[in-house]
Amino acid sequence: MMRASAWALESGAFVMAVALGVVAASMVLLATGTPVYQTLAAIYSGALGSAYALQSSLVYAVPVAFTGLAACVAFRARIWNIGGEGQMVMGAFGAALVALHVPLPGPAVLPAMILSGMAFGALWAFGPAVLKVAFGVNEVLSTLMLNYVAILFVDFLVFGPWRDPAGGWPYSPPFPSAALLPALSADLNVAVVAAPVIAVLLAVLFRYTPWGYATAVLGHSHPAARYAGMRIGRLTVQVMLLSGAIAALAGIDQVAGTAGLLYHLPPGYGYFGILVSWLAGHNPLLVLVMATFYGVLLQGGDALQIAQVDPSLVRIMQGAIIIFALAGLTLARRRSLSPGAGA
Amino acid sequence: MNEAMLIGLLAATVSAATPLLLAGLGELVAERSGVLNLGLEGLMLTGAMTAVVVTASTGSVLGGIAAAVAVTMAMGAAFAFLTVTIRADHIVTGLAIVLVGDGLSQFFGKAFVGVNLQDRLAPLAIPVLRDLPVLGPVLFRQNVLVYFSLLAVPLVWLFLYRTRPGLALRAAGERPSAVDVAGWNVVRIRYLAVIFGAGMAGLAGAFLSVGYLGSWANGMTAGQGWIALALVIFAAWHPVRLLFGAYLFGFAYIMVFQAQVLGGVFQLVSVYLMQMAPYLLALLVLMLIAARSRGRGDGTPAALAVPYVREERT
Repeated sequence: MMRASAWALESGAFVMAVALGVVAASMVLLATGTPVYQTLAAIYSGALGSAYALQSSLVYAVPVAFTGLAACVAFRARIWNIGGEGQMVMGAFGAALVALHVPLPGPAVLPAMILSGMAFGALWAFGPAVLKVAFGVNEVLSTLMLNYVAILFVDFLVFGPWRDPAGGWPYSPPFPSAALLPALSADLNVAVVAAPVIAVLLAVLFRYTPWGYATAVLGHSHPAARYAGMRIGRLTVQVMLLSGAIAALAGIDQVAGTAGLLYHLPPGYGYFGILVSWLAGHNPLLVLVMATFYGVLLQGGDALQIAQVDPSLVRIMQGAIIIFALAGLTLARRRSLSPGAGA
Repeated sequence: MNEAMLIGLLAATVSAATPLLLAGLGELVAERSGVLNLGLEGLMLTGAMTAVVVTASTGSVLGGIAAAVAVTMAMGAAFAFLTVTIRADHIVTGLAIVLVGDGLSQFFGKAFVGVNLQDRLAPLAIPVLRDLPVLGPVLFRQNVLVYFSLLAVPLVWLFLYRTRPGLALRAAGERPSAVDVAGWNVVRIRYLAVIFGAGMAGLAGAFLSVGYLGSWANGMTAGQGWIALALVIFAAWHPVRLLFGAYLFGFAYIMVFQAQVLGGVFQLVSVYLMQMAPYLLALLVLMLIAARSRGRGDGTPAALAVPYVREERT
């Protein structure tokens, strides 16, 4: 259990990082002659200031929460799955495959879509896992290369054989209504509940099961895991499969919930998830908090577009916050470790 | 295929290989010192955007290139501060640099998207050599950044393997404590290596924008920064093998492009599927390298991405 002083130190470091990130973005605004106060106010009112704004932020937060949870499964075992992006895209593909091309009775459609999506996400992680275990291929690069392959594959489908002949955009035909995730409000669907449930399940898995313990040992030290008789190869494959299946949920949410069709997903969620997981110290419950924060930033970008300020300002703010948080949290976490525990 | 087409293909390969070679060489030096900089993609984007903005505003291509290198070197210094001084995680910091570079380049490049530059880096034919059959048009009628990239290969090799600072740099990536004991400053070596690597990535971006395409587009590097990272592994951290790898991938890019232009049987295959080729090739290469070097080590610097803590020197 983390001590209260460590909590205070880390939270303080994070708040400082956010403040510095806002200052950095304000300086960019000043330098480009954009009114600072109005711009920041637009972000606030568009992403936080009303119930509607908060809901819009949550729409962004849900896929980031899934990719963040996927990242924390892998990263706490020190398996560098950078492929959340591709696994998410393949999850979207797997769900769309069932929704558009597998005739099933109504109630069976959604469960089959979710299973198919998760299976394709897991498959996309399985390849790099096997390459790592069997040949020692660096998973950072193999998962990354597969991100591009997955995105191009879905582009191929939506610009080619799966393109809706009735529409002008590179989109698949809309999913039938039985293939849409049940809505909770105009914008939100059941995924907003599923994410916290999975976070709690992961927290229990990590904390109270032998598997959770074994993967934590793996993350702490490979030699220690080997001396303890753990089957590192098998654990690595299992971690990657679980990570890929969870990342797939981010894609399923976007095609079966938000959009209701298959398209070229907005890029970046897979990478945001890694940053969110790191900010959260790979703690699944904190991943939810950090993903919500990230959702606010992403929705802030939309708010800027409405206020006719360049929305990529929010990217600079994101980048600055993460850089300051990297510095602050690295130092805070090192201080809160007991001497001799290493950095 | 006639001779003119072949020459065109090879000359295009040289152009496509140059950014990979520049970025890869810089990364190779940084990794040899023990720092893994995953941020190449973001640095290349920043370099490409800076070069276009400064060139378009001042009319000076060289000014644009110099600005690209200066800005990315500053980002490299920030990366070194985070990873070497604060000892933040190399992988997460690298991803953050990609996001920052992407954001900076989109924000400051916005007004220049789709603008065709009046001034670009003009080709500089080298007297005598330019008249060689085949080789002349392929290699010696390129621009100065192409020559620089080719010259940089032997220079980096000489530096790493034939000079004392080069030896210290390689040792900093293998056994930093020994370098420290020998009186070298590990922190300074790593800072300089990372800043050099970032500047080379910026130069690679500048080549793409003002030396090759003559314009700026969001995300125009399209994954080349990541391919350059894979090439460093392919090269087993050796500059001469990196040259070979960069040209192999440059050729792959050009073949994909040519296949689209040629049409015929290739028209049956979607461009999106053909664009997978470089990534699948990279995956295949990583696999072959790993399979070949199983048990013998693949040349990874022993202290790569391991922070050096002087107080814990062993």
